[in-house]
Amino acid sequence: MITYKEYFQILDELRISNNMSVSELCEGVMSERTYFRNLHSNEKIKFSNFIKLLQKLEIGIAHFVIYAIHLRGEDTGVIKFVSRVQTKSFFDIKPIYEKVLKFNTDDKLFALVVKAFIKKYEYLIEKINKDEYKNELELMINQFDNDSPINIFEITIYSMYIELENKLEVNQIKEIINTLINMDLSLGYFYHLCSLDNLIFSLLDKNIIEDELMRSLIEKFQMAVRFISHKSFYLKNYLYTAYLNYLDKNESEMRKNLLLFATNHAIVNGKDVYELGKKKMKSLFNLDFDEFLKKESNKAFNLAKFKIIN
Amino acid sequence: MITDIEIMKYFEMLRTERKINIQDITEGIVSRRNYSRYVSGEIAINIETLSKLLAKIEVPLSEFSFYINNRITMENLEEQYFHALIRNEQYTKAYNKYYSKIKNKELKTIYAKRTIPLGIVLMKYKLGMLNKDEVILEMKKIMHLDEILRKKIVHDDDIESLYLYIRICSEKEKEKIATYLLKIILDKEYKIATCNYEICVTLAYLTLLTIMVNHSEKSKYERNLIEKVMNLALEFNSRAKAVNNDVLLFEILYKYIKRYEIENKYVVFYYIASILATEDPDFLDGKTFEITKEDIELYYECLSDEEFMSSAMYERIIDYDNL
Repeated sequence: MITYKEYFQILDELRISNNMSVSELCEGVMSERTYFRNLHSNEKIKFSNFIKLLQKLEIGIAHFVIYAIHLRGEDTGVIKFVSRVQTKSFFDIKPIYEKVLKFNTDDKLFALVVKAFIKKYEYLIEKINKDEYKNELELMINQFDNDSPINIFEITIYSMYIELENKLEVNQIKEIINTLINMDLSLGYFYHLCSLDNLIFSLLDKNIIEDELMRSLIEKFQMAVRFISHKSFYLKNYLYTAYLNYLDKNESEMRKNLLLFATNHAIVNGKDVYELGKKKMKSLFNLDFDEFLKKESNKAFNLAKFKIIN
Repeated sequence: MITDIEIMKYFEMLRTERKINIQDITEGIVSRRNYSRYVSGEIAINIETLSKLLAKIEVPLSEFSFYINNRITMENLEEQYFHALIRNEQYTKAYNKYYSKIKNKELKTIYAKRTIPLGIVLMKYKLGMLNKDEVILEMKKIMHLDEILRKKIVHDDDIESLYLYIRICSEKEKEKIATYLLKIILDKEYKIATCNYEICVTLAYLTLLTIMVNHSEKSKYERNLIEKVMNLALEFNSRAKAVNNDVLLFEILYKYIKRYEIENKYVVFYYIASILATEDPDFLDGKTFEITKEDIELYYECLSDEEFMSSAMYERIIDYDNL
């Protein structure tokens, strides 16, 4: 993880790669002397001045961090790993897994959530069994400082626990859901998305929480998914939205969303995940996936977006 | 431009969300009086103090930087939505829904420097408010193409603006852009540092393929090179799984196999399936996709092939030995 002490050195690397002189960069922000002083000890640099320098290099603060973390050879692989485990996309995961095993951080809760994803992966590839995975999650939960989770990483671990085997009291589940619904998405966004997905997918056909709470959870997922362009999450969104249509007894919208789910599912997912999606459609809507896909595709070819030529 | 007050506004949001009072957060770091002066913008906070305050709420400075970026995006969604419509060639909708909301404001998001100003000019041209000479003049004021093509680290704004720019620029400029994008994709010295990595890389492939397959001189780009880029694009998209852009990618592939009379039922299947799998009205409005009755038969043939249906994404069309 990069520390604030490295920020200025990285900025100087970017300046060099952009072929910009120190005087050009500093003009209107600080003296060249101050720049060089900061280069050796940046402790007193104003954060807003630092951002101004980045802007002169046409670099936003997020781009700077992406460069610093991912492109300076310091990528820990965590986000790639988490994303692959969440979407069960394992074909290139092995080197990423090896890298993440060596990951270290002083942030206790972040370390725990990374470990939780490692254990989930090991469980999914049958390196450890269900009881071992469950015990690991319980050990993590026991390390939390609060009985009520307030941090997105804690919630993510709870959501994995609920996904695996729900041993929590209904009230505790509801409290976790309500906390998640009211949390700001901007910090730890991807973990929000994972938590929402885990909770919705595992609770959808269980009758544990009221329809209205499920609706709020799905609505939060619908909002979160707008900030990502990933079919694995979009297809879930179509499935969950179809469920809301089902609750609202709106069959035509439900079928429309299910066709979107089914076609995306057919494109994206293979093997076990493909079968799991088909089963979910059967359990939630009592529909046969293959038959539905053929029948609804046939109807869709008459829509305006297709022009059938001979 | 983000100000000192805004930096502290975002910090305060995190502090209050965590229900930590000012006395606790400032203890051992800074006086309460100075903290108030940071919040009011009277004095600017330095990196060291900010890092220490963030440590108290267990948020690293790098994560805080992303947080600021995410907040700016969420507070300026009209910019994001306007750009998405322009990217999808929905000019009338962009004009009617969002143009009045962005035209007189300071643009704040990662697309503020080139992409959105370029989108505005392009939209005006497409809606008949500017003629071709005017739009080219205006676009050149915004783009400074050579400046982008010199960069070895590219950002969202660079790639997104190139994707718009090729809709209007000359073929010579398109060739320069294609040469540059080939370097971005194939040369490890070039780096893509983007917030929306999957979208940007897919757009880089789409821009490159669009230029190569639509060049007026049919033999300008060798088929081997085009097919290599297509293969890389497919492999990338099998990992990125980007929404909507797969339709555009398969549209290029579908037209390509038709043009060279290449038989590949899986390309036909994915082309049709990607259209069926897309409903975004901001992407699809007014678009029609031509397919034949034979294509529909091939689609059903694939649907009935259980082994194919449970195979991994694009497994049957990626040449893994040639990546």
